[in-house]
Amino acid sequence: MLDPAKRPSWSEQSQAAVRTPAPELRSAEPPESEQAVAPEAVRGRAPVQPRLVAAVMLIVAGVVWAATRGLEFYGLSPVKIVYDLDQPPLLLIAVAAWLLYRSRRR
Amino acid sequence: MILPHIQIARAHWLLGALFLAIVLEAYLPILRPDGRPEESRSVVIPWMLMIGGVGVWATTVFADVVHDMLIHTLWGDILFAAGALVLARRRGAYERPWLDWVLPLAFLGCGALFLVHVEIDPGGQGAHWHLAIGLLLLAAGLLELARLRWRQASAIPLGLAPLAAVALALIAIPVAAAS
Repeated sequence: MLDPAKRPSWSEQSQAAVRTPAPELRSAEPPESEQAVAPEAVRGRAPVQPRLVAAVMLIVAGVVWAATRGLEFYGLSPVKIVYDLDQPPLLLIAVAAWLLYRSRRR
Repeated sequence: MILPHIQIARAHWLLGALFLAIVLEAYLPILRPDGRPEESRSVVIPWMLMIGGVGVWATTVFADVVHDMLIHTLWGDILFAAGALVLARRRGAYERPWLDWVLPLAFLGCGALFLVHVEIDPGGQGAHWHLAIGLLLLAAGLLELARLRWRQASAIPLGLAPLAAVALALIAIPVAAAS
């Protein structure tokens, strides 16, 4: 039996399974020479965030959907509030809000 | 306990919205000022996959048709397993090259189960929509596998289009069915 001081901990075991950084993460940042820089960056402008575009499209879709089909109001009790929010146009807007929140640079 | 149609519709469009958030989070990159995608080790996607898996699995409790119970259980298993593997990778606990294939294979598996669902119950409600969703998921899985195989450098993967279509179908179709 190993001396407890020499025994590998669980965290060491899990780290031992990691050989290299995740390829998807490596591929996210290829060498400068291989990656074309966006034209906006060349011109000194910040590139348009795809998430921002998708969020705007979802908000427009949600508003149009709500305007054409209407929204139901079920009430203000806890369960009824869930029903109030669980409506497709509001869900689209919620996903858009989530995307906007997650489009911040970290 | 059998749920009324409106409750089934609510569950479907809620899961559809969750799936839409997953695919947009997974495949829409955040661009840095130089136009290159920012790397992400966020554990949000695996958690969302596992929450979706639990949601789909819960359908088993309320379903009243045996093939619905079986298929939903398997969908839940696939989503939960995919979430667990992506979570292990993003935490840095486990890394293998084949983990790149987890999400595309999960989409392929879910798509194949849609086709099995239609095959078992071809006259069931929404069979045509199940077939369309299954084919879209298969297309998305194949496009993603092809992108990984040939390392396409597109900023936004082609597989996003069929995946977003699946999510929007999951949201919109129950609306029509319930109204």
